[in-house]
This record gives sequence, structure tokens and C-alpha cells, in this order.
Amino acid sequence: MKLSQLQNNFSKHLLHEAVDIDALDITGPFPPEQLLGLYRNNFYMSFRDYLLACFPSVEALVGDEFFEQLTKAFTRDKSLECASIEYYGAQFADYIATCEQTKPLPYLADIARFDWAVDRAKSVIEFNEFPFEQLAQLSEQQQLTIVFSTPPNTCLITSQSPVFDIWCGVQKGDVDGIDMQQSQSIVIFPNATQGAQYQELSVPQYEFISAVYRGESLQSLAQMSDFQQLLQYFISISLINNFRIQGEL
Amino acid sequence: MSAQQSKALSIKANAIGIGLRSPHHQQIVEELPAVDWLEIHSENFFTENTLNRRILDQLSTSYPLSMHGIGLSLGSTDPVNQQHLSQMKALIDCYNPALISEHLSWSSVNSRYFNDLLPVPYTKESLDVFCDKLNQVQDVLGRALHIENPTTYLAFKNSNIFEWDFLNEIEQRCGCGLLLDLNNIYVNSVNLGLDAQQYLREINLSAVKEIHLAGFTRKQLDNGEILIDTHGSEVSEPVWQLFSQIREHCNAPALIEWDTDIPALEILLEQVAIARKVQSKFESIEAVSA
Repeated sequence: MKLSQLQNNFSKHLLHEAVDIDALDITGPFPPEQLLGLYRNNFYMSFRDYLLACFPSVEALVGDEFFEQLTKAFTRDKSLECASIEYYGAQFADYIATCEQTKPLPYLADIARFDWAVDRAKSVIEFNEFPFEQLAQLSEQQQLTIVFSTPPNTCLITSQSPVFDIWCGVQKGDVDGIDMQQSQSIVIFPNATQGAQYQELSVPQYEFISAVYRGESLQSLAQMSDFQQLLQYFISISLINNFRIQGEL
Repeated sequence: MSAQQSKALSIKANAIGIGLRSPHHQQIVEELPAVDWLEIHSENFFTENTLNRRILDQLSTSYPLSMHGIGLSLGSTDPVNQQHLSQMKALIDCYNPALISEHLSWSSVNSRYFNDLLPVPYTKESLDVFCDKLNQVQDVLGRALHIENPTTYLAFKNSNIFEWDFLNEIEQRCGCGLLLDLNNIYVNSVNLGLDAQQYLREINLSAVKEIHLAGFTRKQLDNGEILIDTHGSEVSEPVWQLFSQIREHCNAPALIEWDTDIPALEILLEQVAIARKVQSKFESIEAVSA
């Protein structure tokens, strides 16, 4: 058997696809199926361990056994396309959202998004304070054209479920008594001391940050009610930490 | 840190290092423990402006570095992943490590990666594929890699070259070095009946530029026991014996490698102390060039 065919068949076996094991011409201390099973087990366990590190709240909610099934199905269906596994988890929440097995848990995909956002926020190491001095140097006309920006890896989640309460409940080990009819919006962003900061947003706060995300100018944001209060607040918690003049990079 | 700023610290003969793993990052930065060198898994440090890179910036001025790759998939029939190679080159150019290594294995096929080190049959075709890709990589990097002997849980019936001859031939054809993992030799000797003594006699020890020491886990199967190369425990007594034997003829730097169930740093430092004790009767002060 040519090397390319052997590697193709070996990988098929890892992925539970039909393959003629005898044709692989394997020998060793145990039957070929058992020896190949060691590699298959290592393969799925290494992906499971990685996904567990990224999505601890998902695992806490569904339990070890279901999490293993879920990560196994994900690993089989979504190929890793580069040697580094660092960003592989980016697709996990969308996978959960389309997965038949998780339909009884409609909040699970958003919990996964929350976990992933925390993981990514923690990876940020450069922080800056809002540049008030630079802002003061702009003319009033120029100031109206600025658009605000948030730290890298900031994530805004709006969910039909009480995802903030569930996620926080998982961290405390108590998810009882949550009103499951609530919808909630959350922002997760990097924090120099905490790694990741997260908080639930009120409707006006969510609308304001969404407008910032859309790149609306200061002139446009200023039309919103409580504009000054919201802006000051988000600057104070370093969620808005920079600006640029509209149209400039 | 730029390539111009970086200056390689060389690793001395008989130096004992440890694998740098994230649970120990902060403690190592703060305490600068007395280990001779540090080895990183290259892929974990590819992305700039990350916590890992900040740690590496700090430690690279205090310790000589080795970069141990797990993703080049040199044994695969897939072409060399140019993006991966570019990332690797950028990392190497930035820190100019004393040692660079990869595995005699494959981890991808048809552009799909399996995050594992999979076994190659020891045939001429495999040898040609491996050497061709290794030569391409070394040409791009402008320096030699060291190739590590693998742990395998099976053998291919069509293998017609001994593993040591396969590695010696790679070294001859590519001008690379060898990384001898003594735990892998021991695990293979138990699982597959490989003769560890013959291995040490036949491998070209003058080409061995690095040694790995690690622990294994015993796994019970329905019909017997198998050793799994987990790097999740202390170095076993048989591996210390192999280390003592090889030190009679080889003063390559050695590494305590621990990747799963990572213990307190102090446990790794105890393993370093044992390694130093084992080799104390053979030590010389010859520098190994970077």
C-alpha cells in the first residue's frame, strides 16, 4: 500500500469511517483494531481536553459524558485545518446551535459563546486608557466625526435565554431559581487585572454599545438618550478605550 | 523583541532543562529556578502580542531556549504547510533558539490535522518523503533540525528498516541532528519488543544533540497492559538506567518533559536534580554550539 493510501485509511479509521483494517498491515502486542483504538482514543481525548479548557461552563451544564459525546461529534465533523489548535474552539458554539442533541438546551450555544469570549478576552495583554488628551486636541467639528472603539476580543452577546444568570450560576455552582423566560444581553471584554470582565447590559446600554460596534459617529450617538452618562460609564470601565476619526484607519 | 535584538544563549554539554508549561510560567519568571535551559512547544508561541510571547520575551534573556515542534507533520504525504513554516521561521528569527526539533511522525493528511503524533512505516518511500520535506524545511530555516524518535503503539508489517537505521539515514541524508527520547525507547521496548540495548548501540550517538526524559502511564486493556507515553509522571527507573548508560558516550543536553497532570514546579526541579546526580560521574564542560 502506498504511503498516501495508508495515511488516508489511518485517518479514516480515526474518524470512524469504514476502512479495511487488514489492509493497513498492522502488527503489535494486541489485535490491530485495539492498537488503532489507542490512537483513536488519544485523538478524541486531546480535542476533548482542549475543548474542556475553553468551555468549562458547557461541560458543567451537560456533564462529563454528554460533553464527551458532543466534543467527539464536533471533532469528527469539523476538521482542524492548521497544526495549532488555539482557535479551533471558535466554531464550537455555532456547532452546538445546529446540533440535534442539544435542542432541549436552547441556551447552551450562548453559554459556549460566553465561555469562548472569556477565553479570548483572557488572551489579550495590551491595554490602553482612553486618550482624553488627543480628543481635546480635535476641533469641535472633528470631534463630531469620531467613532469609538473597544478593546480587541470584546464580545457582545444577546440571547433569548438568561445566559448571564446561567453562566454566573455555573461559576457559583448554583443554577436553581433562574427565570428561564428572561432574555439577556452581555458584554465580555479584556481587563488588565481580571483577565476577562463581563456584565449584563440594560436595553439602553446594549443599544449604545451596538451603535458603537456599528461604527456610528459621535454625532449620531449623541442623539441617543442618556448619551453622556452611557459614554462616561463605558469609558470608566475601559470598555470604550479609544477613538478614531471616521473614514481614517 | 526583534530578530536583531535576540541573541542566542548556547546550551552547555550535559545541561539539564525542563519543558516550559503554562502552569509554571509565572513562578519561573519570578523565581528563575536553577535549570540550565527551557524548551517550548513552538506552536504555542506563534501568535505575537500574547501572554505566552510576553513570558518568552522575559525568559529568553535568562535561559537558553529550545523550540520543539509538534505540527510540521514531516512524515505526511501532504506538502509542507508553508504558513506553518513561515510562522515557525518568524518565531525562530525572533528568539534564535539554541535547538530546534521535530518528530519522526505525521499529524495531518489531506490538510486535516489530528493533533497527535502518528506512526510512519519504516520503508524507503517513507524515508524519501520525510527527507524531502525535512530538507525543504531546513532550507527555509537555514539551520538544522533535530528529529525525535517516536513512541508507537503498533508496527507496520511492510516496515523493512530498523527505526535506528531509519533515523541514522535521515541524519545522513539531511545533515540534521537527532533527539533521543529515552522514555520512547523504553515504552517501545515494553510494548513492541524493541531491543533498547541494541537501539543505543546502533543509533549514531555522535548525531544525538538532545535527550528527552519523561514518564509513562500504564493502561490496562482487556487482554493485557500497554504503556502510554503520556509525559504525565516521574521518569521511571528503567529510563534513568538508559540515561546513565547513554551518558557514558553522549553529553547532549537533556530535558525533563512533563505535559499532562503537570505537577508543582518543585517536582520537576527534583527530577532535574536526579538527572544531575545520574550524570555526575560522566560530566565534562564542553559547550554544545547553538
